[in-house]
Amino acid sequence: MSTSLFISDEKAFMEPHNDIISTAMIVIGFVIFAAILSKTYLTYDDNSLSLENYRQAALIANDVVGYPAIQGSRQDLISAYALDSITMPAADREMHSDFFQRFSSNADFFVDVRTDDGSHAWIIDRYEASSHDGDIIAASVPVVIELGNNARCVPGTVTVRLRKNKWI
Amino acid sequence: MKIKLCLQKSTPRKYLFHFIADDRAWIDLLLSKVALIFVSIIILAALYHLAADAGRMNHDRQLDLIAQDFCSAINSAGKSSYETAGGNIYFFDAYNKYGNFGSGINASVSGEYVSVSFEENGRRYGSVKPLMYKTLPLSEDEVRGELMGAFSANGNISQPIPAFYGYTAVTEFLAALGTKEENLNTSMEVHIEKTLIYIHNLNGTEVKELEYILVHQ
Repeated sequence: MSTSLFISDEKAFMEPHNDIISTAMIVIGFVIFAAILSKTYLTYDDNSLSLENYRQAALIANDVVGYPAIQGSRQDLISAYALDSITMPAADREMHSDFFQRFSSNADFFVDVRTDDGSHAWIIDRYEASSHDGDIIAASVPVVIELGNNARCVPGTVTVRLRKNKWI
Repeated sequence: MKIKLCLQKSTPRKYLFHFIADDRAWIDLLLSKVALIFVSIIILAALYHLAADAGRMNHDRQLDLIAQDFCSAINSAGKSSYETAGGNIYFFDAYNKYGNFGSGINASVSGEYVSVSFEENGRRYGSVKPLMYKTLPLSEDEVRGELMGAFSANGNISQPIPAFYGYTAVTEFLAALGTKEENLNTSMEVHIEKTLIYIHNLNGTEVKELEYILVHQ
């Protein structure tokens, strides 16, 4: 009954409000459009920043793998003994500071070296009490790790975990 | 006349009835048109800002790309081992990839970051990227000269810095050199090279090397 009244009512009571309703719809449409646009841009910006950080992490990971001081008996091997010396708390402080010397203070990262079987792991960090939480971008390089003096070689991974730079 | 009568004897109920019964709808028309004008102004202003922001974002994105490219060139020099690293030459306008900016790009480098900026109609656009390796905005000769002045040795393999100055004093001196921001001419080539600075260790028999990247024109 009420519906039929609404349709048959010819007093045009609602007539002046039609443009308000249509304007409201345009405004809502525009707000949704702007929200989608800004969300898309923010996602793109975040992804490009992550990609940029990943490239830097990959660069450092390749650099770490090729660092002469941690090489084993051959150039393509990583020495577990050398890793032991620079894993925190560093047994060889000079070697540890040499390892990080060439990196700028912007390169806020730590290196995680693990054997694939999970039996050995080394964390090389610049500072002893560094936090390993927060936004981190990681890049890994497969390596072969030379364990002990009997030259037992096991496959492993060198992972560089780069903490996101807060000022960019 | 009838309306006046109603108003005189108005009670809230009658007033509401009169308001509903008045089919001239002048106030509705006025209110809706005013609202429409306001909304149109707001939407047009928002669209104008959106278009202007899109242009600005485009500039920012391009500058970001240029800064990233330059930063990568420096970081790649840092990654390469000293034995294999020769001097790299970087061109800002290679392949005319920054055509939109013409020659109006300003670039600078310091020990910690590279910065690229562009000015248009009094508005400044810029991008800053952090460097991963220790960098000095100086040439090889300038670094050796500075070291010679401060430590009486240029830090070459043939003339390492004496141990009594201390490792920390040398690194702090070099860090201070890196804080100076050097403006680059973007129409000229930029030289990027790696250098080693040698310091005698405490017993004086061995030398320790410090790696730095030099960026200069």
